[in-house]
Amino acid sequence: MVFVFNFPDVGEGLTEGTVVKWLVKQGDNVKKDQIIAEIETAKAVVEIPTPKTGKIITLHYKAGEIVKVGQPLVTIEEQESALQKKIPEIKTEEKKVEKATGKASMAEKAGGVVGFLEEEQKVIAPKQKIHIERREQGMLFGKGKEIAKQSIDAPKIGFESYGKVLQIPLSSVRTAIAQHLSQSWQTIPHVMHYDEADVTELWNVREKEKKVAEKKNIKLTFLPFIIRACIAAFKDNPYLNSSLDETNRIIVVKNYYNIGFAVDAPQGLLVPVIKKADDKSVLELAAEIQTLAEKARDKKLSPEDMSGGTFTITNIGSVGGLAATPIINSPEAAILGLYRILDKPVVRNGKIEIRKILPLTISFDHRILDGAQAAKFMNALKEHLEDPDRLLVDLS
Amino acid sequence: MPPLKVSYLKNVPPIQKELKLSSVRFLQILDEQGNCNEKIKPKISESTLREWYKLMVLTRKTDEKLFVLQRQGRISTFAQVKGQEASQIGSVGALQKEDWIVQAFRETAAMLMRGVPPKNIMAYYGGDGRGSVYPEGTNMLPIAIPVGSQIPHAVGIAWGMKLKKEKNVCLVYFGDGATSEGDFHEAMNFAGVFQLPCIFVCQNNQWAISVPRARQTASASIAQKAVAYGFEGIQVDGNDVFAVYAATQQAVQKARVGKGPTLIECYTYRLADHTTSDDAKRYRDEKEVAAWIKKDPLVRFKKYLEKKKIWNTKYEEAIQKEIEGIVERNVQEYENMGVPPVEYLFNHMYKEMPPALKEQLAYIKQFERKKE
Repeated sequence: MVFVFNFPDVGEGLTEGTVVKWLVKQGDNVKKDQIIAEIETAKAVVEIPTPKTGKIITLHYKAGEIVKVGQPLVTIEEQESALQKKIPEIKTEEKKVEKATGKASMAEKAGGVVGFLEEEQKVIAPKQKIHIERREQGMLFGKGKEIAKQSIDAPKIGFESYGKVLQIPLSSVRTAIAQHLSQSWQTIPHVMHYDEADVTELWNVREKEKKVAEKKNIKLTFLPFIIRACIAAFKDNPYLNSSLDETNRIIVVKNYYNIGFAVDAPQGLLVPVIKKADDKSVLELAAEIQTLAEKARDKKLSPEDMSGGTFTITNIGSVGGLAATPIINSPEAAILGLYRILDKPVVRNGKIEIRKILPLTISFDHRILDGAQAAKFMNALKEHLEDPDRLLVDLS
Repeated sequence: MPPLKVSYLKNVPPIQKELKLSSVRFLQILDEQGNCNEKIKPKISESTLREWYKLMVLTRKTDEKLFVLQRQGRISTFAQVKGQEASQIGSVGALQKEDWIVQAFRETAAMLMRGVPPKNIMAYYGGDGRGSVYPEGTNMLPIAIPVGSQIPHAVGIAWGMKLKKEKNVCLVYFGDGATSEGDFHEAMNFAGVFQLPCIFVCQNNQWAISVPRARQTASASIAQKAVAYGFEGIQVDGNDVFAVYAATQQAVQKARVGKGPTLIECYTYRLADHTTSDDAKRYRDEKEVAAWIKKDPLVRFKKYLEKKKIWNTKYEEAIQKEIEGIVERNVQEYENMGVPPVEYLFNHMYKEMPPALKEQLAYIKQFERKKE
């Protein structure tokens, strides 16, 4: 019988630990309560005793690797001890369960896991059989609730039975991204508003000014123009640059404009923030974008560089795609998505012309904003992008 | 056990240098080598000595098992008692069944001695409130985690005893850290003013998590604090089960005849970490720990029993086996308890459930899985 020992929270509220060393190796026979590993947590280096007697099948981590609380630490082929066989039977009133599962297990009879068990059967029938068997043998330790939880988690580790898998531990950056985006997606009711801007004029301006900028070693992209256009559009649509304080039931409208932009760094998505973007010219913005993006790729961004944002812009245009549904960078109110500029036939003054078209999305927090406000912001943004003279005034 | 004559306290041995004492008396009867000062040793039957030894081993084994269970994720945070067994067994030994005990959170030996099964301790630290339901007539309050909060409770119980003109006493445990809490002062003062039958047992284990005894108080001893509240304080070797017993016995007798409270400072040592979330190596000198391992109350008592021909290796093997069985059986019983009903979270705080709690209970009940 195979037993998977998940790494427990050996402190108070720990989430992970680092394997310092293993005191056993694959194939070793271990005795219940024998120390098998030393694991360093945020609090201390702790010795971990095995809950079962048997043979070590898999050590799921190498020394030096990080193990998350609740993840499999070691798999043991169990050896039944005399004590375990002698578990006393507890009388049950749950006769229906006996019918449903053929034979009610020890843990079920102890009460409390009936509901879980039936649900499990529906969802993960083949795997569940193993768990039932294990329970019948009285093999799983823990109380009803813990057993149910383990069983639900267990299929995660069953992929190997269908084919080869590669297990990649989540890096700290990936973990932070996962937590942050889950929180944003789960708490903010997102709405995506889509539009297109004719940026032919802006394209020409940028082509011309690009050369001027190059002389100053600045790479001029569209982003600084778009940042300026956003700030101009915020003037009449201030809620796009706000945050919701749900606890105090306040919308906090910010009178400063710190614009974050997404960088696809090797370690994952990072969002450096340009502080006081409204005080900066297009060229100054371009220079700062360049510096921050380089720092992001060289892993040199400080927490300071990434904090204090009021609005975020994500640009997937360089990679491709017509549009996407970006997730808001909580606690901000909205995120602007930019996509690839395409030559498109458009009707202008009754004639079909080929123009440079930039697809745009604005994902907004529907708790703060309604669709009309977001559309008004988008219109203002388009006006500024389609008439770059207004932005050029700032270009130095 | 009938009350003992207490004349032996007049012949206390000279004060030990290492213990930096003040005006209060210090009592040691059984030294580290298991040598006993027979002149002042209270009379204790052989069967009681065996019982105490077995309890010490049961406590040690339960403690070790609890630690392993915690490291395996089968119970949550708990505080090991290792090193303080004599302080608890000696003091509970001087009480009658009708007396009350108020504990802090490291009183595993006291609980076991009072008849609380190991599975209750496992359940408590496994997050199951049913662990605090002790067998009928145990006369012991549940574990109190907030430091010092239990001391006024004990004084309240003692006051009740006095008002009801009972002859019982209430004994309360706390640590050196608790003596810096306001609760300690208030409780001691009240007990002194009202001359209550309360026995304050401070298990001074030298460390309040990482705060050393020297940083806890500028007083030369904790026992002397009693003087300020108008009653007697005594310092005893807390790793000497006879000294603890003798001092408690005297305090109990005094309390029963209306002569008020006593503070007993059990000078002992926490051989393990503060709790399973602590790493004492970060703040404690290993030499200090090594020196205290030599004073281990269990080893000392064993040496004495061996000299008295009560203990031998065969006896040890037999009780080890018996106790191992008891502990393992309790682990199984604990793990077979299942999950308590959700009402358990609400039912035991008030005599009558207030409307706000009723509302919360109804709310949470919605999420309970339906049994078909």
